[in-house]
Amino acid sequence: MARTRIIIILGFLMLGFAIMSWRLTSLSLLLTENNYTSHGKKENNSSSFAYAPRADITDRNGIVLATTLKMPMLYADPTIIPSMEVLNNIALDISQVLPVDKETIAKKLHRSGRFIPLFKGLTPKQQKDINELGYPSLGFRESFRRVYPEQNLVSHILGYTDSDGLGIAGIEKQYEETLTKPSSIALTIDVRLQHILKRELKKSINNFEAIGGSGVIMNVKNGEILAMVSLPDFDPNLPSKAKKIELFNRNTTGVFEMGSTFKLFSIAAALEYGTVKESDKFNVSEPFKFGSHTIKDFHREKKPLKLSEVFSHSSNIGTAQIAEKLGTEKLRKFYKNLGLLNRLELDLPERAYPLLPRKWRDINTITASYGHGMAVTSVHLVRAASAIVNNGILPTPRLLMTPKKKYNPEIRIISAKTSKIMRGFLAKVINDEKGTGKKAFVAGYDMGGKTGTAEKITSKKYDEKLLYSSFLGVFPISEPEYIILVSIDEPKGQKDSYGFATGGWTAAPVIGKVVSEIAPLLGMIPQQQE
Amino acid sequence: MFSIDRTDKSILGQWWWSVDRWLLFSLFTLMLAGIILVMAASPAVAERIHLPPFHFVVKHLIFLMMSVFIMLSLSLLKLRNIWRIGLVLLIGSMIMLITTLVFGADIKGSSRWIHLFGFSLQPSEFVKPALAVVGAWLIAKQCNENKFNGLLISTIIYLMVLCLLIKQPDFGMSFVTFSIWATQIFLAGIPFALVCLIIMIGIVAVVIAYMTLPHVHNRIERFLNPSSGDNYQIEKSLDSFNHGGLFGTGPGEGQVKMYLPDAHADFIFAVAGEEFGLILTLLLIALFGFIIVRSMLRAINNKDMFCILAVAGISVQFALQTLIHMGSSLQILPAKGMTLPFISYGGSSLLSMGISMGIVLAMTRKDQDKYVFSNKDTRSLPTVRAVYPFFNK
Repeated sequence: MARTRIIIILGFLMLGFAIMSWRLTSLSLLLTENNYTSHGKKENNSSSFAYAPRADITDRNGIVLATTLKMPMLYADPTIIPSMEVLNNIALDISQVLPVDKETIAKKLHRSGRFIPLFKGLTPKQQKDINELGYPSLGFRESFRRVYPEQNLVSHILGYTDSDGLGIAGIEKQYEETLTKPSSIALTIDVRLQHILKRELKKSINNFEAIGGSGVIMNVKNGEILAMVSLPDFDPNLPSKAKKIELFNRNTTGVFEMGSTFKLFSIAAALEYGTVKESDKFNVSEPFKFGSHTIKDFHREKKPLKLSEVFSHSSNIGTAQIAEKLGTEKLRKFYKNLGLLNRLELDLPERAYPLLPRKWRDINTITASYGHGMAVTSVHLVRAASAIVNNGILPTPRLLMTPKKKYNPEIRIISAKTSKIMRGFLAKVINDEKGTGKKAFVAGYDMGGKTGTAEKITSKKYDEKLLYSSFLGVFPISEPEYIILVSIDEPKGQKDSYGFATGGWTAAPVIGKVVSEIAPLLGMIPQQQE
Repeated sequence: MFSIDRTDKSILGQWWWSVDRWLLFSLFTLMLAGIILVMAASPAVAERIHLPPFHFVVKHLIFLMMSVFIMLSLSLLKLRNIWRIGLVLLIGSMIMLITTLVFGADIKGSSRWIHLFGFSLQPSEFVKPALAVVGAWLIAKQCNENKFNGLLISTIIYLMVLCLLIKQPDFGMSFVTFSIWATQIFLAGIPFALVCLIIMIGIVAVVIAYMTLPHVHNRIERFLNPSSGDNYQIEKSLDSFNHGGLFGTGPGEGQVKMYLPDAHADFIFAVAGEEFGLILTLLLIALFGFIIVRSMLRAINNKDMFCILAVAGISVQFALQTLIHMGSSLQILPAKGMTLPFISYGGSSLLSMGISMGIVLAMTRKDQDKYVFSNKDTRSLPTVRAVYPFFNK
């Protein structure tokens, strides 16, 4: 009996061996689909894959803005360095090949352990040079480094990663999970526009000896941000070298009193609520008095102004009269609908809250009507202004080509009729002989715009000399597609600007130059002039 | 090569002409393959944990020499002494098992190790061959003497060991131990109905283990539903067979050992697949198969019930360890840390295998004077019916 039973057991065991052999054969020769191999689907979802590099970030045309490169790390095994002499030679030789000093390396080589990291992110050339030194105590470990080929150009939007490749600012932080999965991200930014905007902005900052500046170009219909520049900027490849002021994103973290560009909102509100009509006239010959406050105009006009002139001449007195008529409640509600009283909505972790009066009194309504007494970000302003020109529909600014969340489809702020009137006012600012924004005129493109010049507060008082000068442009003004805001921080009056440093002198020319260059890139044909 | 005269009557001469030389040579071939694979796999593991590259190779060679010495020494022994050694080993290893429960070092969630004279020993490795010998002796004795209830005593001993192993917990070893016992009582001639019952008990035990022991639950859950958890080791292991293909990457050229913490032990089969390719790995499987078939067939021809049961028990243990190891690497079975006999690095495993195979070699010798149970015809077991009258109806 035992014999038969041994044969039975043996049969089962051999069956087991046969199964193993079959499985081994099919795995080795790829006869079965292996759930786990690099050919399978599983890998895409598997976060346990050891070396899945962080995904790329591109611009809207697929230009790489951030990528991950395999760059080996140099390490040393000091236990196999035979003598002090050799150790010093190693340190000296490394310092000649890599941008590190000899002492730093020597110090590290004195440590105990068998794996002392010396330098991260070697280029192939540097690796070859180290190999040619021929020290057996030096080795490489595969590692990855985040590289930003456009360097400073898109720095504030992209943000940067720490040495472990973890996103700690900008898109890198906001979409950490997406990037590590990895799946790449396409931004709405167009590097060509970004470059032009940055170049012109920088010129103006230099010309007017300003401390900084910012610019945003946005699609008024869908809220796609095509360019967003903040100067001074930094190189995200070397975030540790960046100064605090350079890391500061003026467009989304910086809140400023925007000045006269806000007249766009208060006048639109008054028109929409029927407080004023387009044909109304305003006497602005005397300063406007409200309690103990006196409001003056930059250029005083003797004759009564039409509503369009209040806007194009940028009369604070006229706007204050309108705001008084409109009333606090309506103005605040209108500003709130435009998103000017809430935290900025954008795909960035760096988003500011507006700076509002602690208690909103009627005087705050008056000053807020011409952009004083409250501070918002550039993107706040651009978004709200888009609604005014875009037939009254408020877009939500965004940076991703394929949004991760749903946006509110249509938020109507004003009627299409009011929007059309406002567009007429904006066109006049640039095209009118006496308009404040003449310098933004570009032959062949119909544009509209509004200047904004705010005095900055130093020690609780407005300082006439410290200005925040901006210009908001919209084109084509007949049927707006793009909005562009340029702000120059603390420009100083120059000889060739006759000492002026207002938005019309500093920011408007930037807009004119930028639009003349980007409009063809955006597929707009210049109209024939007579 | 060897010049030993047929008429040589010395102990060595007698041994040489009576031992199963085919089995002996296949075991040595296996050991050679083990040395090569440990040399290929372990330097990467050693370097990762900052040990000298040949740390594991040297230790493997030392333990292998000890193992060969033990194996050859045991194969020289008479059956009576084998039984005595088995009993001593069983008592010793059971004491050690109890000690691990009290003082054992906790490695990866289980307390399986005991530190003795600078060595870490895994008593569960030694308990298996000892059990196979003692169990075989007890059951064989009952075949000879009706009054002696060896079947019951052996079952009690097995259950005690099983409890100790489950307490550790070491599910793989428990399963192997259970299988040795099942093989022996099956060969002793228990009725098929009882066999079916035992198989069912086995299945129930697995289900209970799955439901009550989180450690077992996780492993099985991951096996049944690979995407549910961390299957890093299995992924890497399966990749390695793909990577190796027909001829392999060549010794030392593989990558799986860079990623698997236990490449030199629990996943050495994956290293074999990657570096030596399909053909050589199939040959390795064939070698294991040959050893098992050879020892089982030699057991069949043996007249002594003690030998049949002990050799079959040890062979089944050897075969199951091989199958579980390979099955884990190939994702046919849930991942279970099990060494590949004579191939994997692991001192306790090597020594235990030396003991096991030494016993098999001794018992399959042609000249063994038949022990206590040789006077009866061992091919039938008349006593079983008397022991279990229930099945006699």
